[in-house]
Amino acid sequence: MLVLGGIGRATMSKDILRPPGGQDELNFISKCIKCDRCRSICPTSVIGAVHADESFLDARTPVMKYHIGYCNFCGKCVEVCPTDALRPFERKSAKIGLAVVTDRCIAWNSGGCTVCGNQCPEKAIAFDALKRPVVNSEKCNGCGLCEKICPALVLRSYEGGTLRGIQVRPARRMC
Amino acid sequence: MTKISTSTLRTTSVLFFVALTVAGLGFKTGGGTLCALGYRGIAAICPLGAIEAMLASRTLLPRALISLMVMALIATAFGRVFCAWICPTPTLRAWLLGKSRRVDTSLPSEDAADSGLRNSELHPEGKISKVSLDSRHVVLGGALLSTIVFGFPVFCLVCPVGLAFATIIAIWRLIQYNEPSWSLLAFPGILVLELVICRKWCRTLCPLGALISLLSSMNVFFRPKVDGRACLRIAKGLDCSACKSSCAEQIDLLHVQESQPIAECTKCRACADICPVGAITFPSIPGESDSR
Repeated sequence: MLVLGGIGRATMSKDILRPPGGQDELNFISKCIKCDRCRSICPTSVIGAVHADESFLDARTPVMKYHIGYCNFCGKCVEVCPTDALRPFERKSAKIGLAVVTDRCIAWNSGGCTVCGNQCPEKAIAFDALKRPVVNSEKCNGCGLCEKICPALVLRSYEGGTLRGIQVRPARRMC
Repeated sequence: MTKISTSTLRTTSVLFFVALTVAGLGFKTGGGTLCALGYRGIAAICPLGAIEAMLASRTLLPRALISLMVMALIATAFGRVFCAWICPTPTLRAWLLGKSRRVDTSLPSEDAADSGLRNSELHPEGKISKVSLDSRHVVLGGALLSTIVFGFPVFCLVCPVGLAFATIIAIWRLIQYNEPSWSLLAFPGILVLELVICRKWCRTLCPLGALISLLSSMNVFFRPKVDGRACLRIAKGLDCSACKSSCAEQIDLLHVQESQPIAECTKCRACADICPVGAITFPSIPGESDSR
């Protein structure tokens, strides 16, 4: 058991996007018993489970899957979490992560696409003089709608891989 | 009257809880798995998981604490029913390893042993339960210690109950979201390894069973009871030990003092099923039909 604990601790990953209220990773991983309730209740199906090949310690814990859904901060996952691994959050200040424009972005590569900026519920994506999206890190709360609707993989599928033109990543130093 | 065998009833009960989880997957009920089964803010949390979460985070979690107390009450009332009627592990073991229970089916011979059994020995429910510590409790202690040292619920990583449900969820996600992953092989793989290599998982390793048997030490209801007037060994002096050899927990109802403590009884009713004269019953209230 001690060996198992040590291996688990050593393979701990700090770059997993948790559901809202679970951003303090040390607190989260100490309480999550992998019961699957948050993943099961999520109305937008954005919560998935970490797979065994991604991290041994984190396997079966919840992770945000922005290719499937986005977060509307309804708080149901927090309500059902039996061990308070997900803690109640303030709707206005909650941040899951931060959207980052990647090199797959259609607007940055060739222009013409404004899907993410038009849809962002927080109005956190502005366009520069050349109509390319720029994320306002203050406003972005990491809901992931931009990543979900980004058409880069549809329109530029020859690139290969699954990375979209905009991606939510864990923000450093969050409270 | 055709009677449904208890093992069929047990499997049905186990499958019912699996079906609850699958229903949760399909209808977004948020019901969860056996690790925490509930509705909205209320949940029956795995007692081991609840303790691990509180130790790892070094905080008192009200919901986990309340659930733990409810679990202790249930264990006091019904003993280790979880192990025989809810936990999927024994069912999986039976599927994987075949019916491994060694059952002595030979007919009892005439040369009888202890004819000196007195009635007082036949009512285990009247005795103070002793708590016996064995290898499972060592695993339990190791799991809790490791949880404190490393700050996360360690046993949950390899818990066969969790892995069984994780396998179901991985298969579900493969179908629903076309999400293939190594989880599909890893979770059932670890599970099968645990059950095949550690053939006596439940009896020698399971810390959850150890915890529940500790909580069950005060168990009063549904304790197995031998009817001394019907029992072949007591009434007729035959050398029958069918109940003892059918018991997965190695409880000898006729010599409870020397065998495993009665708190280990999972109410699986294997002894009641095997008894050739039906002398074993599980009365809900102890001493109810005490006929002497």
